[in-house]
Amino acid sequence: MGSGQPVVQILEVMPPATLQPELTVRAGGSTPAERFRIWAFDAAAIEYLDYLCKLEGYDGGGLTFTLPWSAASATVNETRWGIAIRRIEDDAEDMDASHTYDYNDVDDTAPSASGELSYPTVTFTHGVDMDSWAEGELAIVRLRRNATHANDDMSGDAELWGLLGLET
Amino acid sequence: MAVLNESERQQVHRGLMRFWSKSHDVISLSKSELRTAIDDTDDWIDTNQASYVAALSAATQAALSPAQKTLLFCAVAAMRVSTNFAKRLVGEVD
Repeated sequence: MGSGQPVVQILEVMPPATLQPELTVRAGGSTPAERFRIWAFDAAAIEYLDYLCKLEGYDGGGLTFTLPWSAASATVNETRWGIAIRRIEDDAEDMDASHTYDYNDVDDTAPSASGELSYPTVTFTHGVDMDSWAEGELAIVRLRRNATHANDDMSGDAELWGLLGLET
Repeated sequence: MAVLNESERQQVHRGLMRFWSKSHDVISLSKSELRTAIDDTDDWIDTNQASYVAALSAATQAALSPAQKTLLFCAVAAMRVSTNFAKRLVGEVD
């Protein structure tokens, strides 16, 4: 249990049909400048990003997701990230049907400089908390910035750089 | 010109945050603090617009519509931000 391994394989990054963040580029400071592809989550409306993932080498523990992000203009205050999982079980989950996502959240303070990253984590316990996602199965890992939540008081975009998932 | 309504102030709020996000301008204000600043600015304009109009020559007061007087104010203020910003507002600034 709890192998510590990167058991969440990201197969596809899929912006939903509506309320998706903007895929944009943030330039680095080197010469030539790096060009970082980031997802810019709005400060005034909740936006979502889906990852199609596979659980590979999973040993029955919980999961910990890390969300590297930067603030586009803020250097203070918090943004609220949430992650939810939709298990795609063999011959059981109809993707044409609606699913109610159950989010686990984290409030994270903006890094002290706009070009710096923060690495908050969102954890799931084994079982129902992670929609009983099992070894070898696909799932939608849905990520959101809950910008209208009272705890999300950071002005400006939150820029997501990626998603990392470990068994813990 | 009338004071902005709630919806219009929200539009300014969202627009400013998106503008500064694109330009990566550092803004050390929370969302609510920025919103208060927008309210304060709009209220100040409403309180002081008569004083602004009075500062203009009689010919200008007569010649320009309320919207044109507001644009005149905005163009001068935009130039104080930067030449490039003024260009976005009124076009080429030679």
